[in-house]
Amino acid sequence: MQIMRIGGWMLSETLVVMVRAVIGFFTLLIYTRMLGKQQLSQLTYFDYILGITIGSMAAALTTDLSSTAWPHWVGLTAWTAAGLAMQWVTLKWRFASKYIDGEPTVVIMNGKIMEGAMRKLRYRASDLMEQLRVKDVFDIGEVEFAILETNGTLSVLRKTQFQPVTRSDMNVPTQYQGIGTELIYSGVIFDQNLKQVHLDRSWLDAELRKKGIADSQDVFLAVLDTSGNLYVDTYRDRVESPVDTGDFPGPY
Amino acid sequence: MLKRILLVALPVGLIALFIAVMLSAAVLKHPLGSDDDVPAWLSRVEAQVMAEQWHEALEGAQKLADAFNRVTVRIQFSAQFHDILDLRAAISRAEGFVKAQNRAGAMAELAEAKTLWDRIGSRH
Repeated sequence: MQIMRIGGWMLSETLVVMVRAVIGFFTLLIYTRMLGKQQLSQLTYFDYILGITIGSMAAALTTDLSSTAWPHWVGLTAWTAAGLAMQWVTLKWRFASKYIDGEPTVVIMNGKIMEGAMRKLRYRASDLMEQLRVKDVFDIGEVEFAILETNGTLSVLRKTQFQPVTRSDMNVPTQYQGIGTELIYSGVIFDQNLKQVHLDRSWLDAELRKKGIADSQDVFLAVLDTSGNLYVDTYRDRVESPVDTGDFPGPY
Repeated sequence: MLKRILLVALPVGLIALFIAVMLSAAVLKHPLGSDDDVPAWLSRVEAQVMAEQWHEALEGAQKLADAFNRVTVRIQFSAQFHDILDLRAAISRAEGFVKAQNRAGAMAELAEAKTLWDRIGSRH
């Protein structure tokens, strides 16, 4: 660590790296937000490489003191701009989208493996078997269609005789089930969400009292489901015989 | 509405601030007074070495080093770190040559220091 003191001021590698880290960190944060909200599992191979390249440029910006931060930052910006341009082009132009991102490929059609399509993708039978197992398919004979998506995941449609029976098949009546609404998190009551489900704090307090909870501050999470049931988890969990999944006494 | 403006203004402002910090060397290297006027001290010491005024040149080289130290504090975040260290070393070597009353050596080191000084904050 090189530190030189000049009249009470400090010239320091450490300080320079810290300032550059702040620049790199927030630039990366802003640029990744601009690039979209795709989840890692939805990324194409190119998106993945783009992410790695941008990340490595941010790392170089922070620690490579053999050059100024500026060229690294310009590189980072240029790659992000290229990524954004590519996103825009693929959004507006269907042909470009197919050309750049590729197309989903059918690897099993009507129960038959498409060897030619697999060869083009350099996709092996062992890869297919592995991805089928991930999808809980251990017998390839159960598969009607399998499609290799552009992000590398496999979508599988089982033959009808191997599909699980649903309530609809059995004509069993079902109730509507939607998304639960969070009413308390970390002791904080969400009035906005309460209003959304046409309820108020007095109702919530009464429900908590019914469950033996005097103060909403004791609640870690409270969720109301669409059937009207309130799930409540408190900070103090009274578990009589806790299950230990560890196989090493610790400490670690 | 205010939130929406903030959502745009904050990242734009941050990016603008980062650009300013990264390119600030070109502006911050300029002297704020006579104590940190590196080009002036470089020229003065050069003239003193050429005139073989060794006592004055030694004092001038020390003032030059001091002036550069003051500037360094401002430019360290936007200048190439190695340029700063190289320039500092060139000034030290020039000081040594002046002590040894070696005109050729001192002039060579001051010329290198000038080149390094010109490179700080330039974008080529």
